[in-house]
Amino acid sequence: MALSRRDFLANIGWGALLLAAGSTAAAFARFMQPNVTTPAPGPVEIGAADEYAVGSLTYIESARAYLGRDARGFYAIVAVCTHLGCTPRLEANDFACPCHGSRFTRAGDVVNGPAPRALDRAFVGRAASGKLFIDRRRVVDADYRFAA
Amino acid sequence: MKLWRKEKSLIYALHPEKIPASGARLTYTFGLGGIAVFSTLVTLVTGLALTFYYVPTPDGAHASVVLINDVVSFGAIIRGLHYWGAQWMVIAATLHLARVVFTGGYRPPRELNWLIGLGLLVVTLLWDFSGYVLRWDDSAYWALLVGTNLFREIPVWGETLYRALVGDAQIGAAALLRFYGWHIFGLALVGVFGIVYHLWRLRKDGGISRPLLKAGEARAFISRDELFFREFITAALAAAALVFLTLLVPSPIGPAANLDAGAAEVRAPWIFLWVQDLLRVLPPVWAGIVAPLVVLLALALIPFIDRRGGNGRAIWFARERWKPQLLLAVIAMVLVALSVREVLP
Amino acid sequence: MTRAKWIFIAGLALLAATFAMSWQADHPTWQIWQERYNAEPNVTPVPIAIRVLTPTQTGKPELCLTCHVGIEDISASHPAQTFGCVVCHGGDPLALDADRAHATLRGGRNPSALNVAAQSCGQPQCHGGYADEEQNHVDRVLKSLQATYAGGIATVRYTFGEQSSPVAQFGLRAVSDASNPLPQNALAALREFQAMAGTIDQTFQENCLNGGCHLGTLPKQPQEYYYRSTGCAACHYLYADDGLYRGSDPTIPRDQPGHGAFHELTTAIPYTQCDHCHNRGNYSLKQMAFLPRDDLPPVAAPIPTTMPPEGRQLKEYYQPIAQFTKCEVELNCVDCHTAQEAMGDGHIYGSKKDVQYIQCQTCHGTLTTTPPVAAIQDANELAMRQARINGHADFLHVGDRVIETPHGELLWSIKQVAPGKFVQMDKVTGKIYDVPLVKGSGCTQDGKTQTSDYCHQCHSVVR
Repeated sequence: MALSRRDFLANIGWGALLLAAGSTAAAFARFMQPNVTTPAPGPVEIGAADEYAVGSLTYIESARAYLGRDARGFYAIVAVCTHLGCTPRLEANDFACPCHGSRFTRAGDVVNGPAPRALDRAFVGRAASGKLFIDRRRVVDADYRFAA
Repeated sequence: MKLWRKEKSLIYALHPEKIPASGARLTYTFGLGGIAVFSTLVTLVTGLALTFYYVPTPDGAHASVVLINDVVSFGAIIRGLHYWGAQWMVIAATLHLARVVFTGGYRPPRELNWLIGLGLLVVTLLWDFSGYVLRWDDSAYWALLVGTNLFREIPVWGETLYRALVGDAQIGAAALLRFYGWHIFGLALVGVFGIVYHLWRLRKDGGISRPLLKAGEARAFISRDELFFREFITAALAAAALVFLTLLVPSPIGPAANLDAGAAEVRAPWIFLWVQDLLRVLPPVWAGIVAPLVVLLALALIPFIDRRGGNGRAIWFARERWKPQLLLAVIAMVLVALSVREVLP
Repeated sequence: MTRAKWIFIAGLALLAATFAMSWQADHPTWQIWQERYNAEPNVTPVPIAIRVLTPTQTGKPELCLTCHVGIEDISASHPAQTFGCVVCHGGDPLALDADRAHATLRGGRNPSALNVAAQSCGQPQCHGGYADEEQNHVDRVLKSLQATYAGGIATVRYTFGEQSSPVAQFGLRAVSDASNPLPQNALAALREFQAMAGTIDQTFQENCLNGGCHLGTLPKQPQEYYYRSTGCAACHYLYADDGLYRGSDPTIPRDQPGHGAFHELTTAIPYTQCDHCHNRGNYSLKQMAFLPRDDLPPVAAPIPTTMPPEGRQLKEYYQPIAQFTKCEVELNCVDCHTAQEAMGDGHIYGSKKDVQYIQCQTCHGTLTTTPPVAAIQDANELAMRQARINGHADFLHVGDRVIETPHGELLWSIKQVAPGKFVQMDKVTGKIYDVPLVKGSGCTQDGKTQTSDYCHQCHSVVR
């Protein structure tokens, strides 16, 4: 059965309305996406090298990372659980995340719990002031050390 | 000349001329739907009062809540009424849902209203969660962090959804502002419209469902006068009870949000304790996104797994409606068991 | 029930609710403290209201004084109007509920406790973060012997054969010093002492280190003469011998021992303060226990101030069997022992003999020499600041000559008033003493072998 002109025009009209509604919805979805985001924090200056004894693992709140020092030098373990982002706390011999029970060794490897991978490491260096800094934007591997 | 005539008042028009007495009995409905609406009104009014002091920025949020609690005259009471009104809203809505399932109030022609009601339950839970986040104390921060990171885990659209929710690459001032916008306006728009539609639809569907008449029985009715009187008294007594609860049990506020690594225990808001428990054993998307959606879907399907008309209407625990009753009972027990498991040491 | 009865019940319930709301809003908990303060004798009553303090340094309002109305300013150098409370103590500045306000306090009641001192007293631009180690008091104290207890630990371990040399290897905290070169006898690092279960170390830890006398812990059984704090407050926050508070903060109970005498920091530290750790008894290595002395009378209460009456010092000062000279039983410990001795010089030492260096001759000179002096050159140099902070700014002026110790410290309270004539001011009472010199006196010692113990043979006070 052929389409009458009336029905054809009405269909075009409805199609156009639908398209208008759809593109408005898409525009709103785009509106909700931020165009400017806060950049991740850069290098965070912490203390001087001799404030951290060999064998220590200290939580640095400003960097949200644990600063460790062993015989080879300094390293930083990012204190963000690889499961859903809570801050694992350091217990006697391991890290324990208080949100869903993930546990990590002192080196950050997963022992048990829902975390999918080991804790990330961050770059440690020395700033012009002579103090150490932690830069979470530069990801390094577990072997990396900054020799003080 | 009289400015006000009872028969021309808005409240009169909102109520049907007469309703079946069986539907208005307290032992039938327990007034739960009404209490849910009442709690919503309380939170809306106290919420407005709170907007005069609350500051939706990361630096100002917690301090403004402490200010309201400790310094503002009657601030603790207004905040407490808001908090307890909100928790009552969740509990009343949930119990109302259970009442509707166990008395078959979802049966045709009320299936659409059931879905609208379910949508209102979702709005209520989102309201509760977003309000919890606005405190910007320790627990609120972790709840926001985990809740939004869950969206990131969704494949393909996760990051886009996360950014739409949070407004930035990580949580911070933008997330707080967006949650504030949803809490005081976005969800309010949807919620108020939903409540109005829910009530209008109820009237269109013939009011609260009532049992079939037995042979020879005549249906008893009560007038709208009587109905409104009952609502008024219930609301007054509920208000008094809410005030006494607020005075006896202060609303909580923890220390200001900080990323310190000392937290021994992080607990989700009580409505999501079961999700937190699931997150310990299932992958994030399954525990945090799929599981709640599955529960929602199961509840949504209730009118469609029991479509029979006839006997079993508007009677508590009718055996003909065993399927949805069992389904709800199982869901309820599982959620409660998971929540209890999360809380136990 | 009739409608009327329902309306009656509902109306009364709502009215009762309104009354309850108003009553609770009218009786905040902080009101109790202000009422109690107003009820005390000799105070100007304050109007019952929330008290806001906006310190000029931070610009952020703090409500602490609403409950702590009447608390003393911590010191003239730290006026509350400038610093407020939160910058040192932490806590929630806007909370008026005690638990909530105090939940985030640094160090509980004591922000100078050693585990948090670096974030409180040791904040940059306060007592930490300077290039000159002399101004990093917190860092110095953390490395000092009184905090690391390195000597005590080394002696115990060496005596029991756990280490083959008496050189200290362990401290209560791990500390390290990267200075190059290290001064003589200074150590590069100490590891944290960890007692192994089942060894003598464990008994040492339980009996002595937990609740023994070192800067990090409180006494195990606080009793009269023992009340003190920890960290910086262990010395600078004076406790009466009965441990009772005598200030005007209504939230601090007056009858509960264990509080400082006043909410004040001071450098005018009387001998009684040091005596809350020192001279309390003897150690027995064999029993691995501390044997408290039992010859002191009960504390006479009430004691009006922490300044004891004359005559007590001799009896309480030192152990009964020892011999001491007049200055040792008339002056305070701080009148001779220097800042570097007590608080460390920023380096790590393992024994008291490497730290404590003041001798009789430091002030009294020798048969052939008078004590070396140095002139005050700058109104803001260390000696002048010490004099001002001590509350005796008028004692010392630019151009005055004061005694200089072999380690280069200037003893600001001992000045030369004429060639060959020195006077000393008691840092607590302000009393001026003449300092007799050895040179030109009838002393019959051999100058080449003269050390402090020889002085005691003639100059000891008869008990």
